[in-house]
Amino acid sequence: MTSEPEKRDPLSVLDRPNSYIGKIVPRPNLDRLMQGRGLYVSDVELPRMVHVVFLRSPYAHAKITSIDASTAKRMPGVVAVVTGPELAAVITPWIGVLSHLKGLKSAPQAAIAIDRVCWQGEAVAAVVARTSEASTGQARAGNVFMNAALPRRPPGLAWATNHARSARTAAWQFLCRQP
Amino acid sequence: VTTAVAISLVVNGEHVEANVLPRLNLADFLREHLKLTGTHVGCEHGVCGACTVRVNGDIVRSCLLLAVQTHNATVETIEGISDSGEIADLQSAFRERNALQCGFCTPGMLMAAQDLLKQNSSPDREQIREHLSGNYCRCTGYQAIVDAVESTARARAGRTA
Repeated sequence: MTSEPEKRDPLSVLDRPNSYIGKIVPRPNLDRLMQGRGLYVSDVELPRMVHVVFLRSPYAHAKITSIDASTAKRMPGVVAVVTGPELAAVITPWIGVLSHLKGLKSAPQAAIAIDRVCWQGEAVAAVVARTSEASTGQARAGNVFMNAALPRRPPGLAWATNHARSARTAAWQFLCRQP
Repeated sequence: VTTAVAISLVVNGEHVEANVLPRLNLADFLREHLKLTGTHVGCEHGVCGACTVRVNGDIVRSCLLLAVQTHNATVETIEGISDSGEIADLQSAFRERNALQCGFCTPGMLMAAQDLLKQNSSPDREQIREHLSGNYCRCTGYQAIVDAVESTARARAGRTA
C-alpha cells in the first residue's frame, strides 16, 4: 500500500467532450407528443372509472349553513356526493411543515371544506359520477347555502365591506370542473 | 336536451356517424367517442387553445363548438394533419428547437401555426406571436415556438421559390 494520495483528474465528467453541456439533446418522446399520441392523465380510461367534479366556493370567507345533495344523488349516473365531514372520516387533514424550520406548521387543512370556507375556490362538495358529463350536470343540480362572512376590514377599504354585505346569505350554484 | 341527435361528419378523412346529446361539445366528442385524445381540453372555455381543431378548413376551439354543430362538416384533428404529413416540416422544426416540454399545448400550437402559414407564407415574428396569442404554453415559453414557426415559413418559402 502506498501512502501517496491518488492523482485526481482535474476535469469532471461534465468537462469531457461527450458531455451534454452546450449540446442539443434530442428528446425521443417529442414525436408522439407532437402527433397527438401522448398519454396524459386525462386520456387514461380504466375499467369502472368514475369522474369527479368539485363544487367550489365563490367566496373567500364564508360559513356553510347547509348542503342539499338530495337532488344530485337521485340523478342517473351519480355514484356519490361527498361533503367535507364525510371525507374527514377517511382522510386526516393535511398540515404543512418545514423540515428546516422545526415547529413551524400550518393550520390543519381538510380535503373538502368543513363548516366554513377560507379561500375562493375551496372545494365544498364533490360529485362522483359514471361519466364526466353526468358529474358536471349533477354538480349544477346541487344546492349549497352559505353565509358570506364579513372580511376583516382593512383601513380605507369600505368597498370590501359593502361587497361582502351584498353577497351575504346568497344561495349559489357554482361549478368548476377539474381538468 | 336529453335526446340524442344523429350526426354525420367526416373526421380526418373518415366518415363518422354518431348519436350524441345536444350538450356534448366537439372536444369531448372527439376525445371520448372517437378516442382522438390528441385534442386536449385545458380551460374548457375557449381561452387556452389546447383544443384547437380544423372545421371546414378554419381553426376553431372544439370546446366551444357543440358536436351537433359539426353535422355534415369536415373535421381535422392533430392526428389527421400529422398522419397526412401536412405538418411534418413544422413538427421537425419544433423538435430541433425543443419548442415543447410537456407537449400538452403542442397539438393546438401546431394547428394554429399551420393555419397562419397557410394564410401568410412569410409572417414576421410579431404576426406569428399575434396568431399564436390564443394558445397558451405554460412550460416552454414562446420563444422557441416562434423560432420554429419562423424557420418553417422560411424553409417553405425557399422550397416554392
